Amino acid sequence: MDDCIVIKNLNKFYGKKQALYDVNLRIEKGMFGLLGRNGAGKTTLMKTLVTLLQKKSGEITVCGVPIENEKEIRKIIGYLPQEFSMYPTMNVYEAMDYLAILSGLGKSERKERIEMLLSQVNLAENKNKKVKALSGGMKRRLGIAQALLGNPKVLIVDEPTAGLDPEERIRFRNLLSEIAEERIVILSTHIVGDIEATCENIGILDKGKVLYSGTVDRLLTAAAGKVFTRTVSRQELSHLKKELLITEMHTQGKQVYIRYVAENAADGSVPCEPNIEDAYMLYLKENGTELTGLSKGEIGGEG
Amino acid sequence: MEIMKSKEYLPVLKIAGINFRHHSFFSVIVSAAILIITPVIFGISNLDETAAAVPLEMFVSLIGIVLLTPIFQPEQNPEIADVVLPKHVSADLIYLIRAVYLFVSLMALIALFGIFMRIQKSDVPLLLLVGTMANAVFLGSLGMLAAALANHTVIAYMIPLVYYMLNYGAGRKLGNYYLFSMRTLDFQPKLWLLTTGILLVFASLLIERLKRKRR
Amino acid sequence: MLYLRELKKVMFSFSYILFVIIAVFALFSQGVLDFADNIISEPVAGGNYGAKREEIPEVIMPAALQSLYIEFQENNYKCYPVGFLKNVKLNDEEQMRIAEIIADITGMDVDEIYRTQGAVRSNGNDVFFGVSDNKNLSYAAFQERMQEVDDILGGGSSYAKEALIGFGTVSVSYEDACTAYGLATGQDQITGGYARLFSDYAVAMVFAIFPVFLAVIISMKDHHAKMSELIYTRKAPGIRIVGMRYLAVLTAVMIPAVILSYVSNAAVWGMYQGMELDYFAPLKYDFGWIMPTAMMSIAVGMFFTELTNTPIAIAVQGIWWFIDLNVGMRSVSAAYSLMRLAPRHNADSSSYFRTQDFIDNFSNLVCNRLLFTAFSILLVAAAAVAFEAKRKGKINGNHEIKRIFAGIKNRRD
Repeated sequence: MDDCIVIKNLNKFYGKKQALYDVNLRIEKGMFGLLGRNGAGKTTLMKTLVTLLQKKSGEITVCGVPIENEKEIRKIIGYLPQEFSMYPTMNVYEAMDYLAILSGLGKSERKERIEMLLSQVNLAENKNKKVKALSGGMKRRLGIAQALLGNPKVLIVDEPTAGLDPEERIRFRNLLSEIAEERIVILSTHIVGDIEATCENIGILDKGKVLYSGTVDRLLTAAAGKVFTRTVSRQELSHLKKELLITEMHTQGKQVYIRYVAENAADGSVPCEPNIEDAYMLYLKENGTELTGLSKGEIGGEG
Repeated sequence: MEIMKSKEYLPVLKIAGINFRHHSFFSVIVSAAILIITPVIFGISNLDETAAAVPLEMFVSLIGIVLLTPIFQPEQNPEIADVVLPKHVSADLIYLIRAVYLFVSLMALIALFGIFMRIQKSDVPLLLLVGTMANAVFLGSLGMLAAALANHTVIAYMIPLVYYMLNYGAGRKLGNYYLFSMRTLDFQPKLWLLTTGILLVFASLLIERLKRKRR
Repeated sequence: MLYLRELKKVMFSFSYILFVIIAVFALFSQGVLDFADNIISEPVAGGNYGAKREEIPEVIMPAALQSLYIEFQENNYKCYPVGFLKNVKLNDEEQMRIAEIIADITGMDVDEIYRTQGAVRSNGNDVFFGVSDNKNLSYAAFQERMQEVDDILGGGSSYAKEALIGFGTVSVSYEDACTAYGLATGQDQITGGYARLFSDYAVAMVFAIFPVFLAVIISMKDHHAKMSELIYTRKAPGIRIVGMRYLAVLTAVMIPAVILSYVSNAAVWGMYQGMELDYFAPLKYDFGWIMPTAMMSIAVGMFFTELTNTPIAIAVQGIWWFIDLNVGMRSVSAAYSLMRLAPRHNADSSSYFRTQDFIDNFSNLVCNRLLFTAFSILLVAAAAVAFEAKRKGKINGNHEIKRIFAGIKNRRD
């Protein structure tokens, strides 16, 4: 059986505004990271994959099922939206039970699966709590649990780690990696750490277009020899900011340590190993995206 | 393979039960409260058929607005919709289930009230109750339609209310859509109201479906 | 400025546009925007000037008694406690008491009257003669006994002290018609009567009920848009936020009221050329008559929404409006009783020109309108208190109500 998602020439409009331009992607089993700034079209692409949005043109097949066959598609996908709520009067178990019914689970199967998922996401003790009373991290974990109810072949999670504390974020990444062992997991993020920790394959989306699709390694290779560090004075910094694509900086007394991406090294610079963030910034720049150094889009480190 | 088989299993009653408890319980309570205060506003005892028609078609039928209008409300919160809509069971079916049990609740409440009026020695033939149901369904379906179009339940309550008021002024000019015909023992409009009401219910379900398809 | 921001928020909302459309449509469909059919002219001697009700004991007493006797015989009394027909049936003991009252007034034998129950329907002529014989009965004593009948019937009957006037129908004389015309052109300066008729409809059909929707929608908006926390943490005190919002909705609601009142009023200006007209009459009625009701409707909407976070205010205001409207319909031409949500002045044809009724009951109207204004301000203050309590986390909207319901629901599991 075909265990991958194939997207060919996908176009999507909101009224007259085009949101996705000729998107072509092939997503295999395992974790796939979708990287891009806010408004790049990540959520649109994901919602299209889970049948919440209709495409304008192009072809999508999920594990061999064409996207038009909504009934089948909904059987094999699970989705965790970035912003989500549950019915305010239901408690954790009730919400899970209702969503399980809607996922087509039988009675005995439901109970078993909910118990299993709740303990997997560490919420077994909170099953009588109102969803409203959960903390951000707990709610997010409940979100994953509900997405997994139908034991989907594909799990799609939108910005799952946004707003989580570092501990929760690591726990969540591990959970996702565990889940991805047996299925396709697509996660969108603008937090590079998420990608580094979990994904082998990534796609970069900008202004509705796919700029890059492939392995993390290949992206890093492309940036090799184009990343440098340097220490400058504060006075110099303000005008360097305009010239260089700075990806990191921190202040050390009167000096400022900067890390930047460029074709050639400036005086006093030391070459260094690129990380995903550098590679990502370089990729955006090379593809004509206006970037202004550290005020750089939405992508940023974990700190 | 086992999972594939069990996915065809669909506990309609269970879905109805959960929806009723979480989404319609409050509407039913408000409707019951309206019925309870009816005898305070209207005489309901010792009425002949024409007099009994007055509280039924003028007031009792208003519970149709209360019950049917908020049918789409839970999923009008986009954050909930994003969780629920990608599930295997389609929203069309959920709305249909809600519509059916709301119909049943409406019938039950009207029937109970009819029995109560009979106990109070009023002449309430079945036809009066069917006519009351017709008004309630028509007014409620206007609310549903407005809710589907405006995507806002509170705004939606205004539309059936405006139509109801129109009947005070325009009256018989509304022809077969006149709401207060039963007091003259004219039952023909009720047939129109009921049929149109049911059609409007399906029309609003269809609009909700099209809205999802056009996103 | 907060007020202008809130006003903009209201006026550019879909619900407000719908409100304006509804206001225009409702008033247009009632024919209130064009009074071409309601032109008054100086009475000509020898015409028919309609009927009026007057408290003439000689007319009222026999008529009332006749009516009571017929209803007594059928043991089916028509009452209108809240505007709708309520057929009252009395038990034997109560019927006996009614028979005693009839006997007391007419001087007839109690048992004889009691026995006529269920008899072939008489026209009541026997008692009609009976009352004429009893010359000693004062009108005050008659009223007192009729009030007792009303009490036995549970109120709302035609025999209540203030309702007895309904039996006093007499035709209007030429002199009376001339006086009425004089008041309409003088006191009301023509436009006053039309402004009154406009207000009568406008309040009953639009401003007693639809503003509540705007108030509910704007009060629920924060919650819906998840803005509550952002707003709760601002410096502005609750009374200012709630108060400004209230004023904004009120302003938005009054704009179509003023415009439509002038559209309606100006349509007749041309019909009375050469006469002295009061061009400010619509404005006086807009603020004196319509606004207090609009204030109440908005205040109810804001109060219940702040308190419960549910649209229950619509049901509350809706039921109040419904009862009030139907009670008002049964009332005589100047229905300004203290608790009247929508004052009516439109019972019979051209009754809105009965300036005398308006003058006679003017103090009632003033009391009613002042009471409504004061009570709505009180409700707004209460809404602000609820807002502050939610802000401090003391109450959590309908949380408590939901907990009670959840308790009931969970018992089933």
